[in-house]
Amino acid sequence: MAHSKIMLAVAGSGKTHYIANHLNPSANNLVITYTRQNVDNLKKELKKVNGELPKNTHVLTFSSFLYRWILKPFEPILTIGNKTAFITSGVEIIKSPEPLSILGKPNPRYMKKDDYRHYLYFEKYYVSRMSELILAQSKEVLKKMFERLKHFCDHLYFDELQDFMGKDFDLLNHFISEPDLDVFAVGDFHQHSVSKSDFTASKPYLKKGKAYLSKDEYKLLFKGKAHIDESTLIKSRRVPVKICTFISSKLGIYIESASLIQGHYELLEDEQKIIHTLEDTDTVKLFYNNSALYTCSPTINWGYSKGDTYKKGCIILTKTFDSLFDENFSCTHLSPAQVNPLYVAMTRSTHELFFIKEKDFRKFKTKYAGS
Amino acid sequence: MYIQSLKINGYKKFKDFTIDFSPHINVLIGENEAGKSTILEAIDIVLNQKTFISPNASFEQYFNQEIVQEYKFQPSIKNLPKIEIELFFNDEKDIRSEYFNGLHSSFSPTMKTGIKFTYKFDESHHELLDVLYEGNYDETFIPLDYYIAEWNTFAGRKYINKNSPLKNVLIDNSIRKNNLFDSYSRRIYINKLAPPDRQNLSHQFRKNVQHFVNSNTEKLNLQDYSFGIDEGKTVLENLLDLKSEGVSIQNKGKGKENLIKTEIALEVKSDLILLEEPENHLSYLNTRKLIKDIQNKCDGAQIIITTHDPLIVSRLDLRNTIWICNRRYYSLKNIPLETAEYFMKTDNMQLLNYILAQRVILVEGNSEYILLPQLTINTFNYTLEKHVVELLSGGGITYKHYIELSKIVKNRLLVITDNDGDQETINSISETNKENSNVLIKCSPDINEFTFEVCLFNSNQSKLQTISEKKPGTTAEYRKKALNQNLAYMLKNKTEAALRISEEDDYKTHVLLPQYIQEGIEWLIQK
Repeated sequence: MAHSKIMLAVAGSGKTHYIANHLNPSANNLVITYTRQNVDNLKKELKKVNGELPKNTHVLTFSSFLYRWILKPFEPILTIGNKTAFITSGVEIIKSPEPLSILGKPNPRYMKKDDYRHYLYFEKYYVSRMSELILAQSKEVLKKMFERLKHFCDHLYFDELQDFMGKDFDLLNHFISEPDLDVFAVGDFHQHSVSKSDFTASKPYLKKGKAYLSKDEYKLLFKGKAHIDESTLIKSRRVPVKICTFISSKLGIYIESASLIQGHYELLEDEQKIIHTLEDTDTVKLFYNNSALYTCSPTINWGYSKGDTYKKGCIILTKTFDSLFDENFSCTHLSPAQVNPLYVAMTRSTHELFFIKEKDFRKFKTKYAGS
Repeated sequence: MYIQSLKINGYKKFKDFTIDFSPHINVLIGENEAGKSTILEAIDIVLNQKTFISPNASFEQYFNQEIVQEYKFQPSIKNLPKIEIELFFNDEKDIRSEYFNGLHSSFSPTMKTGIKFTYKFDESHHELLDVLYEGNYDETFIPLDYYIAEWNTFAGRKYINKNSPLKNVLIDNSIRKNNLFDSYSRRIYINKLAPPDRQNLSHQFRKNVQHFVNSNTEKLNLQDYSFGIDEGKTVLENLLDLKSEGVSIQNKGKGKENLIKTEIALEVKSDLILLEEPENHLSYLNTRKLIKDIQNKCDGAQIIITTHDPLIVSRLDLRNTIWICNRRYYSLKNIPLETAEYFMKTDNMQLLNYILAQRVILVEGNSEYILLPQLTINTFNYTLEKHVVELLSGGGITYKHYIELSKIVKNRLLVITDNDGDQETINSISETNKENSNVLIKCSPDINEFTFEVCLFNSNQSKLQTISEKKPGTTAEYRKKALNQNLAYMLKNKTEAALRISEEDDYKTHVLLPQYIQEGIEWLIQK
């Protein structure tokens, strides 16, 4: 029956570590993740565990996987809009396709699905429409694609499960439902809508209806198709005890710590302390966006810090979260797209985490803003 | 992984040609220019990106001439000559095979595993050429400057030889090209040493060269300039030379060189060994040694050999032979084991002639072998050569092995045999004749004519009345039966009699073929 397994994890619980340690190095494995950086992380971890990258284990990004494994080998029988047997020359990574509408108004440059230009930019695939193109193929073609996949691959691993949205999610669900295909997918539900990826479909999990799902609603999407494991990776090995407690109470996202470190978090309001921390090169400064503009290195955007581990971090809050330390702070009125990036930023530090309010940082903005 | 088959379109001799290989030993035979070497070349082009990788070279000579003629007759962009070579591998359930598997082959929509090489007009120059065709452009000229060579796997991915699925070595001992030596040393080096070791050696080498320069700066100094070492020339891999006991094997004599090269190739663990005419420059004994090596050391590797040596063909098991002829191939893999073993044991030196001949007469004894050419002229006024007939001596009752061969190579075979005075033999021969349209066994239909000499004597009695005079003491009996004295002489001195008939004026141009042989030859030379 259901061979597939979904593992819901918390930040820093060792998803990469788990995959590297549970993968059978003598089998044919395919490990797929969203970002290139994570491909490197996975390879590094696999090398650590096995001495070298197992020769029958391939680690690649989701877009490479779709192109190399699913689309390219079948081009002679693919239907791309109004074209068949068209041989492409690769994947377009810069241009994105014209959307159906812009700011609620119909986009005259949008290409319909029956036009190959819906999927292709000249001779290349739009990265964000590859899943849609695959799902638009006939049953026979899809069957061949899955057969080939099963022929060469015994185990299929997906990391960053929460990043699969829209058509990517539908396609992932196809893989999970496929009999005889052994899929293992792991992700942190609360890190979804945090963009760091090559491409993230800016679409909800479901075709219509609510833009965001609760965790329980999310779980329902896999019902009967895969076994859901919520207990193995429940504890964060990275995030220390005190910070976990703080996150759980403030963001309403439950996270437990497996760390031996108690940890320390603090809101900095004293000017001297703020300057000292901003100028400390051992502390990573996490900005909501445009982190590259600031000279107080090292800096990074909240979203881009996904997957990273720092000893000390300092979060520069946004107006939305200036009241984070207020006793009656609640984020029930906020969307996951607002909360999740902060959750990501807050789960990076192994020891210390500092916060600076937006209104306090503003005083130093010019000082640290590069030209 | 091994090569299952090779498909060649438009390259040299082959307009459209496919050949299947066995996973182990493949012995390619065929007349000169049949295309044996072209097959090895084609594999080398696809797998190792040979020849077409070099820019600015003219590749016009590689096109199939028939295709070039068609283009010249009807010049258009669509008709431009192109070369396509596809290499098919066996299907393995291994993730590393995935890179080669897909529909980008001529077998689409069937999934295949392999690599495709194409040398064709680059479509992106289409418009440019359209303009040319409209003007006063010499249409029969092939615009090679706008051609591209491409290597793709059947998965539609770019292929580079670094990703070769088969560690391979090509040993070319043919007389035509022998200057491939350094590339040979290099291949052995690459196959034998792991990449980290090669990197390390190369690094050390460059360090030492640099050290040499550094410690001689003064001497290498000119006023405003200084001498350095050309880095393009000091690549370790290009400087390697194989040595045996301190002597470069290039200087050991062709035969020895050949033997050593082959031995080394067999020792290095390769997945595929391509051997071009390994017998060249080798004595009979050394050829036998080489064959032993091939048999003992190939150990799982796929071997493809071209040869003209019947010893190699028979010793490496006839069933491994692939005959290339008229742009087709015939595999002898279905030859019965018994037949293969028979040829393996007998070191049959005429085996290759037999396979390559289109019409063969197989005779039982020396007498027929000596007399048939001359008697054919006397009887029919033409020679056997005129009708490209190969005359072979089958040495007794072994003709059934040859018939097995003929069933596969489809040559026309006439067997001349004796009925041994046995009606059953006559009956069973006429049964066998019904089985194969390309094989005819002929013996005298009369049981009294139990052997060739009897038939010959009976059909030429008047001309042979005095032949026994050479040995007047000959008794007029044979095997305790009374007989004409002349016939008795012929039976008791078969070879001598045959030689005399073929040489002495009294007989040479007068004696004719017995009826059953006449019938046989008439059948044989039919179109």
